Amino acid sequence: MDYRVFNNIIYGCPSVCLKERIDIKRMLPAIEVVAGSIQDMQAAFSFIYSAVEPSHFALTLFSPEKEIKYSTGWFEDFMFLLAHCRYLREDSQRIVFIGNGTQVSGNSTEWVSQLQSICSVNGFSFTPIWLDKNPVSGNEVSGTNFPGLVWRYTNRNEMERMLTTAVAPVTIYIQTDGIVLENLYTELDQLVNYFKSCNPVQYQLLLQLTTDAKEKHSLQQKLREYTTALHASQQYQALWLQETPQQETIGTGGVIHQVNRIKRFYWEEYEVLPLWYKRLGHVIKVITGKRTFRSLFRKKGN
Amino acid sequence: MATEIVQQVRQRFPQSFILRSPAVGRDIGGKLLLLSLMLRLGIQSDYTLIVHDKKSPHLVDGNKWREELYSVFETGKVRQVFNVFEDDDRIGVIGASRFVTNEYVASSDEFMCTSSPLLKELRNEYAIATDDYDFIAGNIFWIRSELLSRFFGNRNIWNIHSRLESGNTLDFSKGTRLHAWERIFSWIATSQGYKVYGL
Repeated sequence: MDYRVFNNIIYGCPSVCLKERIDIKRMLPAIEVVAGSIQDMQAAFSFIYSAVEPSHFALTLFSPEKEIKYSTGWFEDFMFLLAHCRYLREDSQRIVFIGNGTQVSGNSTEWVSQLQSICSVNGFSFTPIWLDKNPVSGNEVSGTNFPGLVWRYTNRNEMERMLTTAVAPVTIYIQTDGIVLENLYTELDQLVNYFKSCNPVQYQLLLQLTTDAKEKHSLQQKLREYTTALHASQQYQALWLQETPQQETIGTGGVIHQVNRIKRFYWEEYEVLPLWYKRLGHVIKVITGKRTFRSLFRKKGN
Repeated sequence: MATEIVQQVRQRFPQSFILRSPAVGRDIGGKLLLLSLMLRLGIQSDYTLIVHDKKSPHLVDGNKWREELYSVFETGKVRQVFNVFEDDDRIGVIGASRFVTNEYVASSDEFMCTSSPLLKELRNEYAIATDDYDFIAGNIFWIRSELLSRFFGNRNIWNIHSRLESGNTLDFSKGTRLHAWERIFSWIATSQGYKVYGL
């Protein structure tokens, strides 16, 4: 199967999986949970954490009620699932699908914002993808660079329309509603091949776009990592370079104490010596070949 | 890099649970989430190894620190650790002896570190009653698992986690909650009448 053109991601409908306990190897990568339902969240938690080798997965939250009351246990399980190393991420952002069965309403937006703000207390963040909007443009996903489009699969005609109008890599969400997944895969295969034969140039361009988008995300990720590392190094360097350490007798850290000790050692062993003595030492180094003659005239810092 | 680490851990320990925790509370944040998961899953064990990757680029002898701290789970030492636990049921925590530290000054009820006010605040808030303030600096040690279960059984780990500082927080000029919890991790044992032991 060649789904590279779709960014390699196919999302499935999970309730089937949870209810029928399908073989773990065929686990679908999205788990449907009714927002606020402690039983649903517990079931999702048990399902993922009892799996020996779970595949990547994402949560889909539905809200049948206008007002959702979350319990502490629900939140904890929700965050445990977000923290799972196989939780699906796009551009380093965890994705949570949101649907309320009808249209995206003010209420949905409100409870999702509420959920986001509560999770942020523990440092967890996620990007909501609204399933009832079809398609969802990446640019509409707030606060992220979510690539391309998210498309909810409804039927073959829709899919064909999507394929022929695609101008960016596409992520497909498949709402299976109990349909056998293999059939959908076969259908998708046929569509991809059909599209490939009818629009070979567009197909190749989409492939290229997908590859480029992946590379871009990978580079962005590296940039984030290096920025963090650089910031940490600068912090540590600032510590080393502190002229007047504030704490001489810090207990365990002993960091400033250590730095100070080394600085003092250097001062007492070298800096206190008369300048002529140090200069003589430099000349001896040149004579013994340990430094170059030219270095004697090099300005400090060059 | 993270993916490589996950693959390596999965290969060596297929039964392991791997979490990707946010940049909150440095190693303490990650450890708290893992402990919370351990309790949530009801994982039973006799002893728990509390460990994290340790770079300490700000220390002159950071690498040596790490090697010494890690020595307690070297192949030859593990049996020794278990023997100590089995021989003396009053020992709750075992770490590298050089890092058994005590900053408490009884006369002034102060701790000789920048996190002293926070330590006193947290000590009251979480009802940590002990006169023995020994702890393993570097926070890498073995602990009896039952002590963890009892301590966190009636204290909300997520709540503790939510109040830790984010990012690469240091405590050289100002105390931090995460550095306070670094010390409290050992007091989980001493507050239950157990000792910290240096190997």
